[in-house]
Amino acid sequence: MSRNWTRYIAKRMTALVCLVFVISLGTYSLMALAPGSLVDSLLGPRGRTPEAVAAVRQEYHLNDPFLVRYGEWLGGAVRFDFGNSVRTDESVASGIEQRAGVTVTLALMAFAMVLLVGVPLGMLAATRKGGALDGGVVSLTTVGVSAPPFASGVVLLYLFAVVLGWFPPFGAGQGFLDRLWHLTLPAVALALTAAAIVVRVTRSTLIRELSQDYVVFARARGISRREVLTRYALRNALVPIVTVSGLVLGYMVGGAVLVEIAFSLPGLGSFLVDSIQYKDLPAVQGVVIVIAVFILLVNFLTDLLYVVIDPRIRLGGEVDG
Amino acid sequence: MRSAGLGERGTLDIRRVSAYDLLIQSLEEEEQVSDVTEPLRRRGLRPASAIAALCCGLALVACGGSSSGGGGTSSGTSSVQVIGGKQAAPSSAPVKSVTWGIGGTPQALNAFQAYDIPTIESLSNIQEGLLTLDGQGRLQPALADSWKQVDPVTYTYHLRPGIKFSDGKPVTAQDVIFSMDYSKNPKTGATNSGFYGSVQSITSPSPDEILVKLKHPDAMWKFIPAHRAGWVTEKAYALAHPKDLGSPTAPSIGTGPYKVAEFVPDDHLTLVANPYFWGPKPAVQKLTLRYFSEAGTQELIAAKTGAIDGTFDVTPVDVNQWEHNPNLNVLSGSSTQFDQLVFNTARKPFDDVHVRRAVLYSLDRPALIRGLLHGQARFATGWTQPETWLSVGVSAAEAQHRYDTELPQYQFSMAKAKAELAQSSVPHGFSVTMTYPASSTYLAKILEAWQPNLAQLGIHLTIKEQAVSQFYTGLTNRDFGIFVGPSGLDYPDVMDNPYFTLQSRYANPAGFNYANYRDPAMDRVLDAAVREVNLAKRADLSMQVIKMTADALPYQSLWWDNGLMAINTRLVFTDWNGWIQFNAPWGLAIKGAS
Repeated sequence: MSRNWTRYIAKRMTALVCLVFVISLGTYSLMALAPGSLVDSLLGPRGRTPEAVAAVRQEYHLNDPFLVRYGEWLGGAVRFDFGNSVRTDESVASGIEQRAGVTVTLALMAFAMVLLVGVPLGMLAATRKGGALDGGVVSLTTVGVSAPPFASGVVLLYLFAVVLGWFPPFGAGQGFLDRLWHLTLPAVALALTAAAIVVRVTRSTLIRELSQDYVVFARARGISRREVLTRYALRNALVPIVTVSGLVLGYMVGGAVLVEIAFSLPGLGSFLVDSIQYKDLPAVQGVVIVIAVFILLVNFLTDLLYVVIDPRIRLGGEVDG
Repeated sequence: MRSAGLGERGTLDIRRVSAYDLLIQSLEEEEQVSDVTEPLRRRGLRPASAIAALCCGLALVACGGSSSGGGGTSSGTSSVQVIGGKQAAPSSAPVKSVTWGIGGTPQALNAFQAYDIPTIESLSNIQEGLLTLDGQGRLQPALADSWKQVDPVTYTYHLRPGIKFSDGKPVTAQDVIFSMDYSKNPKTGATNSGFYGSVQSITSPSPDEILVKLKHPDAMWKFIPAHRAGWVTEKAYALAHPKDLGSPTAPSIGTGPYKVAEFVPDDHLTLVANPYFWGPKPAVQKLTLRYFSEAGTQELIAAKTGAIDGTFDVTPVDVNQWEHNPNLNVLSGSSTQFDQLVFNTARKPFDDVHVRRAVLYSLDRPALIRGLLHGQARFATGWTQPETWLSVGVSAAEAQHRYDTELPQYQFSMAKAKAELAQSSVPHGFSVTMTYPASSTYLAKILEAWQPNLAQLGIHLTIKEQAVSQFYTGLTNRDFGIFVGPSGLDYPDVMDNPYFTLQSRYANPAGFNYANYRDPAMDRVLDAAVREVNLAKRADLSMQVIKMTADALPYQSLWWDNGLMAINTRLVFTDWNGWIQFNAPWGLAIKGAS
């Protein structure tokens, strides 16, 4: 049994490393193809003497062929040396470390909101299917899915930070509680769309489960509605809900970009945007790798979770019974 | 029944489904499943909820639109006006803490790498050079307590005795020479090396004297020690941090009134008073610069709620949103910024002066100044603001008079535009594409307002949006026919902009002669104007340059922007002008309101 686990984990980790390698090459290529150049970023609109341009191209190896430059970066990366940010001169690792806290806190807060609000709301709508509450929830989720985080972020900002003044309008705050207070509105903006999806998936999966024969028989045997709902129907509905939750957590990190810009938060998302616009290759590569590894790990953990919650699922290609 | 989402055998070779797939699946299933415990109901689309959702969605996207246009405000004059109110008198009591908003984020806090506004505004309180500029654009002593122009190519500066850097180390002539040489070298001081173009050598004949020798007379050299290109950094410190100077671990060390207490890139910079500063102690003890993703709305909200105490990021276009706030004062003064029209004279049909005149006559500038800029700009009757003529000993009033009487004024006139085009090489019109950077909606509005007027002449204008970097790259690559964009002076000298943009030797990809204008007669007058030592003669030569430009029209300044800023009413900003934040320790100008 443990041999299966080891083999499976080894297989997945190898796949993860290969995928990260492909992503890094892809990102590097896209940055090289994108218009604009590091020379523009470093020299700005005024300092473009031929000597200055030549000096910049020399220092940042811009005259080397593409694969050579990528190879140089890769050589450092496998030793976990991502170089220095061309824009801020700090090491990429410390830049990411400083900003990761804000993004991770934001993503976790939003994720918690999605699960704590989305799943119960979906359950509620499923049990009152066809009623007014259900109709209201479905409409709300349609709004939630349609509203992009930056738009809902601006609305929340205006209503709760400017008009009502309950929350601060920008920044990440200092100290644990202050940070939670600052990140509440951004987390809500980020959570809205994902929560809508989780509500709909929970609702429809539960509706399907509640329509199964075993539910009728369980109720006929006298088991309470609540126990049928939580111990039987919800447990069986978990696989799609866990799947979408895993995808949502991955989306949180990526979607954090839009919210960070709207609320002026110094997180990984805005760091990534600034670095891309500046053509700061080391920083872009570093952040993309970190985000990619995070999403791949979340997917991996989600898959492992299936084995726990659904006894029919076995690791690898083994057939059970 | 099988549950959807699991593979055939329930193994972990599950087909990867996306959240979107699950959502669509769930919507489809709702149609099919009937619940045996509930009475049967017809299920179909719910029109009411769909329309409600649509309206909510639209409302969410449409929220945050611009507020209505503001009423009349002070017309631009060179004195500082407080829009809609008065500043209190400054008190002498210290102010514990001030938070200032800066739109954008600095790169490294490194004077040698500073060319963008957030970096410059952050460093100008920490670093200074031998000289500085005051509110009227006059040179004042800083690290040098006196200076002299010995002959047309020689300047000497006397170092103030006993000055120290903010880490306590003494300032020596070697630090000054190192900083200037570093900026002068195109390999290291890339962004600023152009300012040292006429310098032959910088030496120190005695420990408290700096001697600058020029290759030829250059009337603009005197501003460089007051410009950011002349900021002095501690030599030993810079050499000890070759790779990370300006990062949070090695922020710049200078001689200004403030020093760095904490730097969190992309978030904030905390400055505290420099105990070794040679000048007056600042009233503000702690100055925190707060960086925003972009200038504008976020800063406005922060200022309204009191989260920041002020900002320089008020523009003529959005000034109406900053007014009418009970806790804010908006100050309007002069500046060195203007919006400019550039013609690529190497590209047909813009090599024809009649085409250039026709295009300019068809632009209704007064209407744009009134409607788009809320009156916070002046119709440009010459190239540079009249205030810049102080550099040649001419008062602003006299300069304005000379502009009015000696220069052709291209007032809006469709009749004249048609007449000029009829005399040109393309009397029936032509097509042209003009671009604007994605961040500047006001440039887009100028082009949109212009389009119908040009259409009346038979000129078909296509408007395109570009990324900011592409917009400026297009300018440096001369990839345009007509260009409209912001411009400005590095220092308040009447020949600053004209010299670099008209000289034919700068009509190459590295130079700033974006119009590709080549005229040997103009070159001669330009060289004479910057080398002339006699102020009266220099004034005449400068006027000649401006007149030749107005006749030939490779460039035309459209309007001179007022310098705008906002500040909380609990504070007072003394002696505001639109260039102090780039060239002087502006933190000293903030005082408490009495």
